[in-house]
Amino acid sequence: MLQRVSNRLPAIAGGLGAASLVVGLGAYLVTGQFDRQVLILLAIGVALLLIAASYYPQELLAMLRGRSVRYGSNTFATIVIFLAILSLINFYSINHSYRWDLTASKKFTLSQQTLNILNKLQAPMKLTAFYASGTSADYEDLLKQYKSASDKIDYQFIDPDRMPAVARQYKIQQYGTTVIEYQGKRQDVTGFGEQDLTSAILKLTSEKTKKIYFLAGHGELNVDSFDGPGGAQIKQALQAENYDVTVLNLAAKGSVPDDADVLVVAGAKNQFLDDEKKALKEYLDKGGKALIMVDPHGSPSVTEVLKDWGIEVGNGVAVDPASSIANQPQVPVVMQYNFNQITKDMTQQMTMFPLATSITVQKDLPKGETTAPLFQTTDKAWLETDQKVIKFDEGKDVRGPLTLAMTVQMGETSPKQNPQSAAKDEAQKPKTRMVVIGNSAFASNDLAKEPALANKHLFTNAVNWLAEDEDLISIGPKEPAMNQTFLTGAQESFVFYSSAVFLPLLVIIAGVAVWWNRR
Amino acid sequence: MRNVLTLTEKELRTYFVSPLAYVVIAAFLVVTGVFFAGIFIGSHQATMEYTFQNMSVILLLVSPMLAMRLLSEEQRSGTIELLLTSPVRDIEVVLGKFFASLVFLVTMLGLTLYYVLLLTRFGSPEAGPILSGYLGIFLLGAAFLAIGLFTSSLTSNQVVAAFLTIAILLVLWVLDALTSMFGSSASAVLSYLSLSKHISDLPKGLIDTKDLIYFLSLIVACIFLTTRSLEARRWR
Repeated sequence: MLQRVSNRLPAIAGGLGAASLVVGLGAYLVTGQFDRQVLILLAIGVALLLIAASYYPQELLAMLRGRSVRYGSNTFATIVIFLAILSLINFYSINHSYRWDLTASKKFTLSQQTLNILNKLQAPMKLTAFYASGTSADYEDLLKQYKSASDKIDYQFIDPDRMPAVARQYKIQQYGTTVIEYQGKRQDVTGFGEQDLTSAILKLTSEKTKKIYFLAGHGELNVDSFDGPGGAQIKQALQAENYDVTVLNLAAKGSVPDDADVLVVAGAKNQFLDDEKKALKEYLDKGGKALIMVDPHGSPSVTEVLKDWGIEVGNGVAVDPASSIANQPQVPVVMQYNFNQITKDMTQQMTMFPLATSITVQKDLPKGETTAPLFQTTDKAWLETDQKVIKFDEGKDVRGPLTLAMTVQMGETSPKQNPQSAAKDEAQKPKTRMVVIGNSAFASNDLAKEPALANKHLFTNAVNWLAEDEDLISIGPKEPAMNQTFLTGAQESFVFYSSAVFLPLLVIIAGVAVWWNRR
Repeated sequence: MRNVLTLTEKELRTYFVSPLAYVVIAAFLVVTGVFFAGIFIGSHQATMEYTFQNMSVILLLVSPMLAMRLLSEEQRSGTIELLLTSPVRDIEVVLGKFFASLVFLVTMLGLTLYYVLLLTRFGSPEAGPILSGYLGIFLLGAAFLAIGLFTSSLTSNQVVAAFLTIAILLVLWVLDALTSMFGSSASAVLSYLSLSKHISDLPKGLIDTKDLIYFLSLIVACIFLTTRSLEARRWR
């Protein structure tokens, strides 16, 4: 009995070892993490397999020993030389590799703008990305490209759940933050595209900090007020992104200062002085960048300035019974965004716009101007012109979907085939960029500090896009491959049974047929 | 070369008349099929990327079974003496066996093209990553088989050969994850040697000469070592 058991020992050990390996590998496959449990399982598996192998001492010894004294050293020498040559080839290939990017979106190819900026790095740059494990594969691909493009760059990933101490040390507020450190300075990025990362690097490496001016004097959002309707929250958010925030009184200054990178008009209520209006127009005509937030029945001067650009501010309040706060259809809630640089990282996030109005585009825009809607209400919404009764009036009110925000751009900004020659023609033309949002209250302290809402995120994204350098704009976001596929229940069954059952069955049938023939 | 082809043909016949071949292919297809269908249905994405990742781990377990017989069986039955004394060179014997196992691998992978068919039928998958993914999976499988071929030359026991191969493949596979235990320069070398590191980019649509050179070097090294091992039989 005992004899029989011991005869079977190698098989049992081997089987258990294999099982342990399979379980360990399975765990690794499922969790995608190589942690201690997996390591122990694999170690046990390998150990058991070695034990099993040790039951065949003759084979093992023959492998290790042999009459190798005479010829062995000769063989050994050729093996060493051969492997050395292979190592050299590999070593050379590491530093002289060539890559082919077969993806449709050119996911693995950095833009020339990024490469130029990376080439100018003077000192080591450290990127620390705070992502939960298993959520960062695409982003890591991107960081890998940055690292291979510049030997100054190094990156590491930190899972805030596993290493909370590091996250606390860096004062990380949210998942998906990347901290860039360079020459003792720090810049945080929450976007995960090439444009976000490159512009953050540019911000760190350039000498000058960008200036954001907030227009004041007509009842705009007060960025120095910590009250509920104030705007101190967004001011702090911009300062955290290394912007210089200043309040601008146009009447006193006479014009928008030349060093303004972005002008924010956050919900002006009153009429502008003629000179003020002229100054605003001039700023935009000269290629200024502006974030213009308008409210229903807001400052007529702003509405007139926008009209020159072919942008119409809706005459009423957007009411959306299908997507709004309970019992308050005048507070639309947006969950879906069009894909563009400003909203690309906001999928599934919620933004809220109390008392918003619609933004529409006139038929003929000035030459060279392009607009793109950022997000809309649902098609159940309408623009309520008579606020006393909230009810859709055919002929008077406008049916949804209502566009609540859009970008306005002047001049060519899409990637050019031939940047040199095109740049010459384009250089003289003003490259105005605007983000027009039909609401200003979304940026108030009350809503900006609400962690369940992405209102602050939308605001900083819009400013980031406006403040961005001209040549970085053309990098644009890389759209994820459009391979979304939804199957019906029957199709799902077909996919499963045909690939996991019938295909293998065919092979078995083929095997039986061969066996039958040979018999 | 003609000798190689003759040997390949003979070896293939041995492969495909044995029930093991069909069982191995069917088992491979069941497991990859379950993964493929589960991923496709669950992720709603017409992509092979994740299927390739699972396939590589499944191949890690299947390849040793395909390669274990190649040279150890000849040694056990004694026919290796005939082969080695016949007027074919060692390298021809080794290449003949290796090519036969490659044809087997290609057959197995070829059947998984059915998944691509399903993806194109129901969605619009990107062609580039599928092409580079198959290239990567083929090279990875070829490297697995080359390592298996080498270990099968070391012993006349198929089981020992298979387990030894799995152990080597596993170590090479997880080398990357072990690097944190070592210093930075050692870990750079270890992580370069890791099989899993070189199969991560190809299924995503990125072909890097680094990965190609790594796989080809591994294959060439194993073929070379196998011929040395056969030669050593002459004087052992």
